[in-house]
Amino acid sequence: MKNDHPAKEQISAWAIACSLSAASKEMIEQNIWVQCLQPELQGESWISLTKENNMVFSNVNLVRVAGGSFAIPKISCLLKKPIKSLGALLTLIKIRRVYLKKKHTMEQVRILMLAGLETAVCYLNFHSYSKSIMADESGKIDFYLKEKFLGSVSSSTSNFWQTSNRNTQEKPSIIVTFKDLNTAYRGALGKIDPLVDAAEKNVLVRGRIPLIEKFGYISRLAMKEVPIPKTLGA
Amino acid sequence: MKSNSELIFQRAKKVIPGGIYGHVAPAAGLPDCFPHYCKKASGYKFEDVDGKEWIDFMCGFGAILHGYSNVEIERAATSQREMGTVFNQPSEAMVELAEILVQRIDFADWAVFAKNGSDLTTWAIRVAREKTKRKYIIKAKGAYHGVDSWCDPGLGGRIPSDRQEILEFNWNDPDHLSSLFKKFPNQIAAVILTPYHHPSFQRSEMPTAGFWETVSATCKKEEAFLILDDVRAGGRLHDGGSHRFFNFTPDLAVYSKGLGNGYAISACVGKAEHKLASAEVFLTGSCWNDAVAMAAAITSLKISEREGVAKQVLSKGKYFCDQLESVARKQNFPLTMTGPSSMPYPFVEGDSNLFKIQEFCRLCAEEGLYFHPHHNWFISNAHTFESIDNSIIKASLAIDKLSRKRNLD
Repeated sequence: MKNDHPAKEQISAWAIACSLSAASKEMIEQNIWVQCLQPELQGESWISLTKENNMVFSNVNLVRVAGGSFAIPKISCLLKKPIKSLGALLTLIKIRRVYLKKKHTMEQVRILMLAGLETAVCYLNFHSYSKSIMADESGKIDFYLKEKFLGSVSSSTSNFWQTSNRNTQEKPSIIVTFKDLNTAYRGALGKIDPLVDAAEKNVLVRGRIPLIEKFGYISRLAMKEVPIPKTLGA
Repeated sequence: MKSNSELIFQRAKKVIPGGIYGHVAPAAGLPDCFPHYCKKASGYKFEDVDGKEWIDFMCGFGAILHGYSNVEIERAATSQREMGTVFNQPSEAMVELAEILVQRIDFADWAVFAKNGSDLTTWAIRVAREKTKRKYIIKAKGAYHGVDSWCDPGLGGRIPSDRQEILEFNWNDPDHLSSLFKKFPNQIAAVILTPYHHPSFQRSEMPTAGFWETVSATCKKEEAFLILDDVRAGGRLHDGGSHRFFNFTPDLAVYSKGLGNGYAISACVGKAEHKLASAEVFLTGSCWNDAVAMAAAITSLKISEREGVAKQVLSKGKYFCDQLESVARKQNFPLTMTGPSSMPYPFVEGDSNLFKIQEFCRLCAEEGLYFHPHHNWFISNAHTFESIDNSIIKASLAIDKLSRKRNLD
């Protein structure tokens, strides 16, 4: 998945696929029964959400699905392995429920945070303006809810950005700490106001500020372009 | 219970995007310990809206050169204000201010005025384009020249064409600069540079030996303008302009921060040979003929000359930097003050991610010292040696706390 290179027109759809994959993986970590989504590009117009290619959406339809609208995957692929397809479909429904859950929990925020970070990372790696902004940047950004680790974003030596749900020994360049569940939830959905939330101490940022300024800008840009299910109160 | 700063901010965020924006936004500093709003300031101190008094080392981010609420400058401003501020015509103060600048700055034959540095850095590159009929401008990578689209450090509101004609070279790398002239022969209108390199979030870099000589010679040979952006450093390195400190001669120079000691004014001065071209480039602003700011600037310049303010702030700054580095060294805190002593940037060895300097400034804030972790600091002429000694004692306490904290970690 990581080395696939989406066409310019399918970056937002690919970001959705990657974020769904991140959500599914984190849900598995949390012992929630879902299928592990492993997206693959199928040319410039189609994206498969699974390795078995049984849940394949056109770019347009994947964007519609992410926004909560009804859209049909490629029927021929769907019928190849109907049981597995049903599993993938249930996974999508479960991920959607996580987004819509009104009472925020640590588990929910972790899933959404990793999904949100994956969306941003897709833009860091493939969106030309975002890439140009990050051209001189490298390092690691750790995200916390109070003292609990939520996830991180880091650059590899080849300047490829990646997310992680594990707190490694590698020293961060930036530590972003959300003061409560609601703020972390907003952060996961790209709804943090970097000026207001910092001033009100809802988000505490320590470390190399230019890196988080750039990452934050790109992440908000990505979240504006990539639909998420209509959420309440965020 | 919420502090006054927090209460005012709650009102602000409803009616002002971000609540507070730009370089004074809390997010750019230490929002967990710096106040959001200031109530009053005098000399080298300010009081925030919660009544806490701070020893200041930011001087309104450089705008205050003679200390806050300087009596002589306030008297001149008040005297002009009683006659009026902005009229249908300019005031005589404008002419007097231009005369002083032309007399004070060795290469200057004329002066124009605006309100902010950006107004005139942007105008200056247009003058260069008008005169040379060339389009490209060269700047140093990471240098700040204002908020206009060709140079602002933000990310929003940009389109690719904004910077199509802006080229960048690495500071202190004249070979890199020459390569740009080679790549774009007869197409470079100007090189715009600050007197030394003072990017935010990074240590300041002084010009290496021969840098200005080479840059000046290259611009002369290539018939490109050399524009000095002296907005931040002007008045703090040399009373006659920072080019005198580094011994070179620009074609145009822009001043602002220290010029009006807190009154909004900027000036661009230039050589006689560029006067006609400058007259072709339209320049105006609703309140740019503000006589109060000009009266303040006149008095500010007179004080600078009379008291040798640049030398004073350099000397006080040197004392401050030496003392601070010394106490830091004694406590094994590898703090280095970079850049000129009158506007030093603090850098902690091995702290490229800024955690240590942020923690140091946070602990200094507890002692009532306003040290910014991401921007160069400023010394004003209101700082006394006694106030500096007092600050060093407080900083030493902060370093001590930092050491104890690190031992605990």
